[in-house]
Amino acid sequence: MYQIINTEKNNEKASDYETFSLLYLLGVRTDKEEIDLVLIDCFNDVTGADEAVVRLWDVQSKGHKTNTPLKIGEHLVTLYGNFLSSFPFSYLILFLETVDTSYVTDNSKQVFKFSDFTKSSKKKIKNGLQREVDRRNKTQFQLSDENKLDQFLSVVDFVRCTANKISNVKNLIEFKNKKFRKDEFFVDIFNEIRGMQSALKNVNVEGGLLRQPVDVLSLKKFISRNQIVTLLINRLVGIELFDNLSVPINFIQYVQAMESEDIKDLVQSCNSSLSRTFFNKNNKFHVWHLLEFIIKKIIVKPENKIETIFLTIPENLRKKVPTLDETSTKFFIARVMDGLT
Amino acid sequence: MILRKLALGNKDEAFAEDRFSEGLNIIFSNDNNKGKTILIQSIMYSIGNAPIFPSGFSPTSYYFYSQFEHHGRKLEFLRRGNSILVKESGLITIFDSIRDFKIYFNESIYRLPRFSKDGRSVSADLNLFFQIFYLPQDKRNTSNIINGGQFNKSDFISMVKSLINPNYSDVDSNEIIRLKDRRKELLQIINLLSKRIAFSRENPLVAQRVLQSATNKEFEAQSANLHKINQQISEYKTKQTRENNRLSKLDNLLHELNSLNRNIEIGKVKCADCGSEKIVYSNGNFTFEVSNNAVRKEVIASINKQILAKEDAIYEYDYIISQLQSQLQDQLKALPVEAADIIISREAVMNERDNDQKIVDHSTELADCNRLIEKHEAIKKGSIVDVNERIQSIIQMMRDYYNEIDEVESSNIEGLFTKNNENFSGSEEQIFYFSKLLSLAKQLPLDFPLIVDCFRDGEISTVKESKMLTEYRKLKKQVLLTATLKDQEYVTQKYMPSDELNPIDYSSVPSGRILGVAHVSHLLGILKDFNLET
Repeated sequence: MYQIINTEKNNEKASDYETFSLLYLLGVRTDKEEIDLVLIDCFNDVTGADEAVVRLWDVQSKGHKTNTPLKIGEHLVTLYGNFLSSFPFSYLILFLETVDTSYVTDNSKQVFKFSDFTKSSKKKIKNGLQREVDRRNKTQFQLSDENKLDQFLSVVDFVRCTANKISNVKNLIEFKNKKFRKDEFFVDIFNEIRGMQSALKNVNVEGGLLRQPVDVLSLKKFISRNQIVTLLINRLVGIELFDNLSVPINFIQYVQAMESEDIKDLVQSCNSSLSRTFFNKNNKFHVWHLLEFIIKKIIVKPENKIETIFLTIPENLRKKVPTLDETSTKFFIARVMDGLT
Repeated sequence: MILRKLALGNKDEAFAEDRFSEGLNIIFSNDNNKGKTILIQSIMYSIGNAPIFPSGFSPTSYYFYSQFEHHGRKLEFLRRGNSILVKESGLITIFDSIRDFKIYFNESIYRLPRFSKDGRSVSADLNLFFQIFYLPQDKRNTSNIINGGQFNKSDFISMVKSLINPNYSDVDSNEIIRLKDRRKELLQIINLLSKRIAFSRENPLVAQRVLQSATNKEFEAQSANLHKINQQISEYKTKQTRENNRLSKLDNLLHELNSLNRNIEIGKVKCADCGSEKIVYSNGNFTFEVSNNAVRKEVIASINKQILAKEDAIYEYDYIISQLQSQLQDQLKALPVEAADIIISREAVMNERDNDQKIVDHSTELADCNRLIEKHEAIKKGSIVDVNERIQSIIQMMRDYYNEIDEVESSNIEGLFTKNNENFSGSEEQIFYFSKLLSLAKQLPLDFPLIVDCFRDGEISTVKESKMLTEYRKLKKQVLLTATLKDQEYVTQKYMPSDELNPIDYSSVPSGRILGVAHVSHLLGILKDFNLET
């Protein structure tokens, strides 16, 4: 059983750090491929999960310029609460903007453990946490004792944030793109993700009781890896429309028998269909469903043929995006394949 | 479809009825306000009709359930607001709008007639279609359809025509258009070929030289050269045309993209307290925008770049073409006039024999074409005549019914509707509608019950009523009628149950309160079957 408490709404900077945490889970961690979903503001600011929501990566993010050990201890309180709960949090992560070099013994690490703190810092962290536990609602920390506290501290990952919007977004996926992309392009996408995160945050679920982790999906407060990847790929393909007039390699099979003037017409008409689709603000749910479906198919099995992928798209999914005909859909698939190889 | 059961209500109050028989049913009571109209309206409302409930009855707060038998299928409908659930063989399908339900109705129950309206082929909506076999108590108007919306009486007539002959509205119109286009093409080709033949006949000298010179090598080379330039010119012209097409397509695309990039803001939600448009929803369902500003700006910029490039290309082709043309002129000038003639007319002369044959072939095809066009047009005309005859026989039948019931020599019925300024009322209206519904039912045997709310409205005499009932009975299909009896009629038990008549008495229903607690559990059971919990 898990009761949702203390969800928060906060300012832009804090939001930035929550987005950094999300991107850290999906793009930086070595086990990033195992994380399929990021739950927003359910157990914590952000919580990574696998598809079945059996494993959880719980992240508390703190965008504070200065973090004294005492403060760090205080920041740990939600993670500790989660540690004590019956839910299977595989990783507990405190995501920090800065950690002063004097508190840690080895400063080269981006991720470190409690044992990496200096002796005096360790004591203060513990004090900070204990103080915060005492201040909070007792029922949540019924099981707390000295032993549990030590056990908890030994498993927490402390992560120093690399607060670079551009590289964090770029980390998500390797996608070849003809055009040199300006930094603003990636900052825009970062902001879009942040916007989605705060929109989801505004969905109020406080007080809800979850019997098992997977119940959290019914709250619809999550962003999937596939959504983010689709977002990025869509933007990268979108920004190239009418600029990249080449025929994608995988698409050549369809135009081999055609004359060059006919090919030009075809490429223009595919670009037109795609731009109509991307500009239509009033059909976005269906467009995303279709694009997410396609991109997932490509990423899961890159050796799939265009025809195979196209045939797996359910008819009703395609019908709901009338701006994309069969040829343009295949063209899009080929473009994405080109970018990913 | 045969109605088996009806229920309406919510978790507080409900009503259910399942006493319908397959033949003639009369739902009656000794007083008004017993819920007969609500019952009839509920039947129609449950299958997608627009509501014409009595004032004071708000359909939005209730569920409407009906169960029909349709060619051995058991169909159950449950409507609330504009959503309809359909249950068949344990499968429940949800339709969020009447429009969606109409598509289902069209595909799975009865193919709704299509007819042409304002030059477009449209399918009848349910409101219009139901009026073939259903007459409500209110909003009656013999000179037009009831509650028409986008349709009017001429659409009703078109619909009836389409029911008589589904191909009526577009008997192979497309085929005729295609044939006519081909005929035009053939005429052009024949014309051109004839001109060529005429040339060689009118210029025998040139023709002769051409034939002689066909083997002359020098001449061949010269002519090949000119031919090549000509070919180049036409190639560049093709390229130029295509670039031009692309250019105009891109121009259009730019306009289109600008209009797509607007949110259609129908029914924007606002906070009633403060007027803010920033409303937080509690159900999630968030999604990213399909494109962002940067992408849109870049795409527009790229399209503009493309447009410029196309304009450049077109200009460049213009230049190349004019160069080639002056080259051609120069070469022609250098030749003796005769030779130039020969070269230009060479193809015409060389192909004369071919041309003859071609003209013959094309003329044969043209004749075929003409014959087919005539045939299609005759069919079309024939079907129009046929359909119009059938309409006339429906109208004649209406007259016959009318005369029989009203015992007059001749009624002044001229069509399926009365003229605009001639609205029948009272018993005339009742008999008019009776005649129309009966005639349509006889001429267009549809699998739907005949439903008339208040079938003897307007002081119909006992003799006339009994004649009408005899005719209703003769239809041998499910008929649902309602009537309010006078005290005397009620006391003497006017309608006795028999094999041919199933009277259903609503007198015991409390006045104005058809919905009660007694049927609530029954309704809840139905809702549960639809997986709905209230």
